[in-house]
Amino acid sequence: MSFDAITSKTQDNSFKHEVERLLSQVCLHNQTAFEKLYQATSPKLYGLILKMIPDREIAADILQESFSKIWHQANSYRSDLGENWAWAWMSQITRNTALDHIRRTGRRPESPLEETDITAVTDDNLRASEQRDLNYCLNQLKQEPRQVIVLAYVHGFSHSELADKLSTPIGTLKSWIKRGLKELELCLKN
Amino acid sequence: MPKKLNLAARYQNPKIRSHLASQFVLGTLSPKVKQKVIRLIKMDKELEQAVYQWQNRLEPINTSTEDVQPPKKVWAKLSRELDFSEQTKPSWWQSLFLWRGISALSLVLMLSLFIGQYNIEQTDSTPNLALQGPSYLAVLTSTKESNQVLPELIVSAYKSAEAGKSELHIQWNKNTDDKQDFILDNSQSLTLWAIDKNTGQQVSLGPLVSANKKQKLSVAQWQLIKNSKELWLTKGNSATDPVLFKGDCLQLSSWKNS
Repeated sequence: MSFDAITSKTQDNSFKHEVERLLSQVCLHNQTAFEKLYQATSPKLYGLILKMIPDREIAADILQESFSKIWHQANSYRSDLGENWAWAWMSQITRNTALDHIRRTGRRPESPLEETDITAVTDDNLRASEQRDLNYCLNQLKQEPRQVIVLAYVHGFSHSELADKLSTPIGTLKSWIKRGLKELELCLKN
Repeated sequence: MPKKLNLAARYQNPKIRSHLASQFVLGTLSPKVKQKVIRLIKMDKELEQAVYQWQNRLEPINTSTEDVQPPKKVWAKLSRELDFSEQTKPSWWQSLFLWRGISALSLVLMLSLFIGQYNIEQTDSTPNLALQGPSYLAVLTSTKESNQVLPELIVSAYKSAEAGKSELHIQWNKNTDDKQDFILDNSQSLTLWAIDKNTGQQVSLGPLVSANKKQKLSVAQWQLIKNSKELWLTKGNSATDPVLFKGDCLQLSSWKNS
């Protein structure tokens, strides 16, 4: 592992550790810790929402709603699930909130698929080891399963939206996703 | 077999559980199924674990996303929505080095007395975890703020293998003659605090229910004790309220293990 990779990995772990530490205080309703958690994570989560909902005003509302849920649901925090869990949990709450909004309003980003840069995700220069493992395993998949998994995760596209955009029968698309996730799981376990 | 039972049994199938977890994290479940999974996660630990594993697997995809600073109004609206009040910072005397010095000195003295001579009062029910010995121990001594000389309070934290089953015991030292009329129970609005060993931040562990009784510790509370260098007991629930007792928090599990 190169020095840069080690530095990036350390920074990544340090960020996740800090998120875990702050979240453990937030679940005791510590307002100061919550504000620090917001300052540390809101730019990442806002960026994540904007990939799904390009409208900045709506994305800001989603961010507020997500943090409100994080405050109220922090007591479901489980440090025994591992250090990465706190950040993964916050990301999931935010993505779910954005997805709920999309499914409720039916509004979708109108960017054509060719503008979606999936190479940014499967770039060989990705830094931390988890990223490199995921990158390696995504690259082991056939192009179609890889594309639909990344598009669904990053942009929150539903089955039917992906089927429309890729002009593919929905059954085929579901099969790509199912097979792709299974192969991805096997590869990451190995 | 009733339909509901069929469904519950179906979700016990590892393949279906893994399928649901992966699609839940990917975001491709229908809103109805997603809500069902959210409910199931709370009841099914294996499903929760599967979801966590998939979150961990796919989360690195997010690192390719650029950070974007959100508008400042989001925090303003959020703190209004959550009805956050302005928190005051600890007063100057709380950070006085003198107190830490006295506390450390008294700790050494009290710990040696505690180990060598003193008998600690038994709790009203004998804790099973006590057989394993405490993982963390703090001998809290009274400060000038208490305006009286009080015996030491022994705070011990017992780790359980089960999440949320760890215990905190707060007991007077056997030498309670000097206790006078001081009562340690929830009528006094006493709050226990952990002082983070890395940041020095004062974080609430919650109200003290009663001395000589055990209290359950949540996973988060345990984490705070684990990361603490000192424990404080205040009169009131604000960080600026008078500190009546304080003492260093020592980790004992390594002694026990060795």
